[in-house]
Amino acid sequence: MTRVLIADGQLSIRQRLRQMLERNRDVQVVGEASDASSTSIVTRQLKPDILLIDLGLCQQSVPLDLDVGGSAPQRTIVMLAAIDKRSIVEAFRLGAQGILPKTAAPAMWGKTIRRVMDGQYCFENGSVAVLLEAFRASFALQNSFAQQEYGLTAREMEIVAKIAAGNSNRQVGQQFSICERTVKHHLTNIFDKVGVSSRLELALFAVKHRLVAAEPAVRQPLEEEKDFPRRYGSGAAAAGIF
Amino acid sequence: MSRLVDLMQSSGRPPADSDELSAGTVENAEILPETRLVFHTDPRSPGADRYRLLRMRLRELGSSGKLKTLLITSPLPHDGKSTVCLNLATALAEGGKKSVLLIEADLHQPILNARLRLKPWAGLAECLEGTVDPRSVIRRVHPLNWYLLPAGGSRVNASELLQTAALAGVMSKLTPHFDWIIVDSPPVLPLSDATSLTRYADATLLVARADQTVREAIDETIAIIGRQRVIGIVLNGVTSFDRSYSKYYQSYYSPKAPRSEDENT
Repeated sequence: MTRVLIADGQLSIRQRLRQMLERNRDVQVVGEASDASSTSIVTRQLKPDILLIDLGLCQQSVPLDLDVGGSAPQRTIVMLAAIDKRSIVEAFRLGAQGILPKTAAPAMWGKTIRRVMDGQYCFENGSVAVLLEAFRASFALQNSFAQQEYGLTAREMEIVAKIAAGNSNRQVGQQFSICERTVKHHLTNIFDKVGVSSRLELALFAVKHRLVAAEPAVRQPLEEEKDFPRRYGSGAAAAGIF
Repeated sequence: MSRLVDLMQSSGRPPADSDELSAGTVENAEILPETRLVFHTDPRSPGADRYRLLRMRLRELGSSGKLKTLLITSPLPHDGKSTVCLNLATALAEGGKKSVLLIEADLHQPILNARLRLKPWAGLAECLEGTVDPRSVIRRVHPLNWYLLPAGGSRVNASELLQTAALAGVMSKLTPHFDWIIVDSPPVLPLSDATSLTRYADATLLVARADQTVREAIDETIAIIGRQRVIGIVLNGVTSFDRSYSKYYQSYYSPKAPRSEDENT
């Protein structure tokens, strides 16, 4: 049974939500709150699994550490009065694991609660596109800072990204349809501009100074793991040191 | 996802020198006699020369494109794996001419930072958990001229972490950037970790300690890893070679050089 706390300034909305949620057998509404301070108190007392909170209240409650950074025990679904870019980004920034418009269809509420309880992020379709756009804009902003600081051209930034990903000069040339010599020429200029003397140093510099996005290793499917190159085992043994 | 939130929260110039963003930082190691880094502290000793011989053999395989990632392991603990790793990484780096990465994959008992008198930082454990980019936690160790990816923070689920497919992601991100990658592995017989690690290495080098490691333990280790993966055995702690040839070494290299009692290989 998922225990839900509803936090919204309007009594009519809280009542409508309670009725709607209690139609789901696996959901129990354990309490309601009408302002930021009571939300904080009731959340600590009742320890709900899910906090269903209005964006306005969520913004006021931030100093109370609702769920920013995932430190709070409960998971948070933020309700929006209007689906607009600013509200979606703000809800996500505040730590929402689910975002729903207050006008969402009854079936969506139960579905979102179940998904968030499963540890997933659940956003209304349009919200995902808005978040990705915001992320892209944020990354582009950082790239432009790096470009300005080191005086790198757009092409040089592309080459830095390829080198940081471990591509050889030949591979970079093939990908950009330029000859290997041109790649070397670009690299010489890049080395001078950022003050490094090797490809390895450039790759590490690029990650450190966010010229490229840091990419934590993701857990790949086991099939891919099986295909990881093991080209050298038998050959090395044949030339062995025994 | 929290990373995404971090990026979206940053509105000004991105910070460049936080702990997380420490790629390529140079760490100054303190090489003490107990570090047993004979290749650095006593480069003309017989012990250092054995590492040169080992380097020569490995280079032959490396130059033919057959070898880049080398796993160093042993049947049991305390056979000298880390000592071999430190010396071999220093030998293969050739004073910085070659790019060498030493990965400390013994998440149970990490010791490299302590042996080099380096303060700890995030490493392989954090990479395997997917919280950091492996390229962002590599640091160059001065004056040894190679790069270190330490084990990172201690974890109770160390063996499980090494068995995840994230290890493939870490290795594939790092391999293209280096001429040599040395993986310091846990021992084979007490743990399953080394067996998981061998699949990501081109070859495995076993370390055994003279007068300590029994033949049966070596045979069992080779059977577990697979003979085709093992390219050789380094016999550590041999002293008879010193006694027989020490006079020759001293007179050949430097008539006034003091005799080394350091570990031989």
